[in-house]
Amino acid sequence: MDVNELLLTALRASFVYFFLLLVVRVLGKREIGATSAFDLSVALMLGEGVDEIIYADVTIIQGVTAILVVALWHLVNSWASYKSDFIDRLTGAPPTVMVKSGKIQRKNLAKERLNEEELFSELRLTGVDNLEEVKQATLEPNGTISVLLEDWAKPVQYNDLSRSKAKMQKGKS
Amino acid sequence: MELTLTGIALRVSLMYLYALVLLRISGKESVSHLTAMDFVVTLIIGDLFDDVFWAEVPVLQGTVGFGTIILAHILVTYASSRNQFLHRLIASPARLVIQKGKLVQENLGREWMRPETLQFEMRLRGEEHVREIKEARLEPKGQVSMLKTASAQPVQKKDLHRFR
Repeated sequence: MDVNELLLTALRASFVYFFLLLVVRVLGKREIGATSAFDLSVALMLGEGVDEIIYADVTIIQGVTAILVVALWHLVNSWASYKSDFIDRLTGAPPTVMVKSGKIQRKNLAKERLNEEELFSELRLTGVDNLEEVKQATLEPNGTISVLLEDWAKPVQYNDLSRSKAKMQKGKS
Repeated sequence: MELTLTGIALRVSLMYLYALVLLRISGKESVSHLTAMDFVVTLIIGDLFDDVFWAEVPVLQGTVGFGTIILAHILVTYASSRNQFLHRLIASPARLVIQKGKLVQENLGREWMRPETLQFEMRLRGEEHVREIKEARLEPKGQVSMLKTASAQPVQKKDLHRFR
């Protein structure tokens, strides 16, 4: 291992870094943001190919081609699923309702291969222990469960207070 | 190079320590600003190391490759924290997607973001009604930030005396 080879390694690594910086910038914040399992895979594809470039197992041109093609397909995919409902449904999982008005939707749970224990664990993580408080719990496309509370279970907001104040004033007069 | 078990253990330990030290030096700042790139850099690190583990690449070359990536990342994050122009070049700006309870269609289009996606981001925060949201932005890190309108703000203790 002579010094020249080490210098070349450093040069290739710098090139790879700035090239990926550009690719990540163009792909945008949502594309690499790991919002879905697939975004994560794409990020892995971008990152996993570079050791061969840096250690000169492949030429720079070959490496750049592979990265560009992955990036290009991902751009085409995001654009197409934005433009077309059909492609969006084809490439992204739609949200599935797990709890509706305090009732567990067992059919949907089975469809998503989700155990009831897991559902309760997710509800606890959002601070809910009473199923009746849940207006709708949804398994979202990114794999997390969102929880909407029933109106009476929501924390008090300013407009609730002004409503009760108006009522109180009405009662007095 | 022959692939002995002690050799593997030695190289793995060496790279582990090396990564620990370099990442410690590179500091918190680099993990908070450009998350997408931070993430990719993390992947590159893991990727560069396995070749050293299996002795496909000499340890020295592995340390140089990894050191260069981290150095470049530190330089870029440092420069972008100091210089507004560079920062704008590297990080995408925050984009307003809800304003005064209404979707900003133009910006949703610019980000290729479907209204359904915005709805699921809202549900994830327990928000049900767009009308209760004063401003929502797609932030540079890829998350959506939401600020509620004054009347939909949670009540604070300082407000309770008015209703006694």
